[in-house]
Amino acid sequence: MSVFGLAFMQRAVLAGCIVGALCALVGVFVVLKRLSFMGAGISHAAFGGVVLGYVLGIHPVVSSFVFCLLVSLGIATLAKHRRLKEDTLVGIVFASTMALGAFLIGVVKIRNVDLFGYLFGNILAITREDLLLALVLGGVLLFFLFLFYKEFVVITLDPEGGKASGISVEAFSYLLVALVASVVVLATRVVGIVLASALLVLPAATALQRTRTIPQAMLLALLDGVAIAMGGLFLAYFLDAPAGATIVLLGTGVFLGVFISSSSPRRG
Amino acid sequence: MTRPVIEVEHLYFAYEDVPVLEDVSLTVCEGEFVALIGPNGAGKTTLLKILLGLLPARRGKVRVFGRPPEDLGPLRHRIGYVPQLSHFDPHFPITLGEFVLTGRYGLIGVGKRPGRSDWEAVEKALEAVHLLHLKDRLFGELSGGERQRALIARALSVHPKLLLCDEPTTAVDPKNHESFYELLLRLKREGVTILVISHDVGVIAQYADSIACLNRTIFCHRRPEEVISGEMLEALYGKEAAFFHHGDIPHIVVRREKNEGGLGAL
Repeated sequence: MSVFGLAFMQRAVLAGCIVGALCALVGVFVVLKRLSFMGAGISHAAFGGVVLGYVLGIHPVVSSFVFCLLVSLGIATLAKHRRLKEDTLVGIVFASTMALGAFLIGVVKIRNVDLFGYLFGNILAITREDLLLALVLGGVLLFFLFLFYKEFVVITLDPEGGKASGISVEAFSYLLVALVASVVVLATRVVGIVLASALLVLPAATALQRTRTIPQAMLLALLDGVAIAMGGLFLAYFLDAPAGATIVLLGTGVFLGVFISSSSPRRG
Repeated sequence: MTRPVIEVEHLYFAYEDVPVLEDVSLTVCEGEFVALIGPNGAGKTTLLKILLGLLPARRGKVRVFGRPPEDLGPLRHRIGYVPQLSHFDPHFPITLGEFVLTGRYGLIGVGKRPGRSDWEAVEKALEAVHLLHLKDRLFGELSGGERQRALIARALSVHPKLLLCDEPTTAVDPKNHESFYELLLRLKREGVTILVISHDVGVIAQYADSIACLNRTIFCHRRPEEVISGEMLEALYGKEAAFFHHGDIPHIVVRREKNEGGLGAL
């Protein structure tokens, strides 16, 4: 039986490609707007969200999605306070949401939870519902990215100038953070909570080494995101290695290769 | 008398509890070219941001085109804003043309695409600052002076009726200052109202209709030759400032604290 004949492999490849592509597209704005740490913080909050789901009897993907959305918008709101910096807030939330999850697991005595799978990814656990969620969220995301492309460029390049010219910079900043939270939760399903932010950052950072404009960077990041997701899954299958880790290591290898071979590296 | 474009009366502003502007009053009429000078920390940029509606006035009246800055409606798109250059990531992946086009994004409207008229406006603005030949060059590949002219082109791309510039010539090399101020004079003749923050007292005095001196409050707003007489600048920059006159043009030199060492030119 070929690799493609395996139902779990079909779902994994499909989910990997969709999620890799979506993360890569949003990732370009994440890297340019320096939201990489925010992305990592949001993905770790998913752990708290998953455990809360088990405690409250809600589907863990739904609970982690809602939880991450609330946490990310909370960080974005508090970060407007003059005495709080965004990276400080992310640093706090990063740990406190993980602690919440660990605390609840201990206190509520949750059993039969594949903790390792949630943390480092388990492609066998990717369900039809995950695929459906990826497709629906993907559609919504592409719609927003296409419709509000120029607004996202302005809030990344020059939020103040954007505000002065009448663009609702705050609203679009919240929307961008919500999009980041959405794709990060999808990424946790493929490569796990701990590795999710790599899908967001690696393809975009790789593409930005070699491209001149944002549309070019988005296209190249998308290709890289899909390629490392597919390549990583097949490598993992043939090497009998963990899929999430293989995808991330492959992505890191590509990034390093491009970085080293670029005569004038621009950003990372 | 022409109608006022900027009206500020008894304006107060503070960052948390630190007062920045106190009892500021300033009127700029249509077609006027006003220079705003003052030492660092005098509140010049803050005043500009209040006029743009980026910061709220604590007390007092602020009107731009006769309306409160936070409620300008479509008139907002008639303001060209040139922020300080230091504010930008020089490696942002965007071409000069696209960068200038971002100035029109608010005017184009949410969810809409730029059309041919937008690109024509971009090309005209680039032509005005003599950068049209670099349209497809990356922003990061431009020199400091070219980037600063790009900011000016971005502000011009909306065909502004009011131009607000925050130190627009710091990175432009001195031989190009003249052509920048000539451009402002040309805009002024077309009826554009201009407010420019500058440290370049000597140069701007030759072009501006009047100079407003700000140090937390506006304590004089007069014709350039009255301001650059000496006493006025001394009152503004303090007794520690000395002025070397080359002909009629004063150059400000501030005597710094001893541990900072020597004379530092502004």
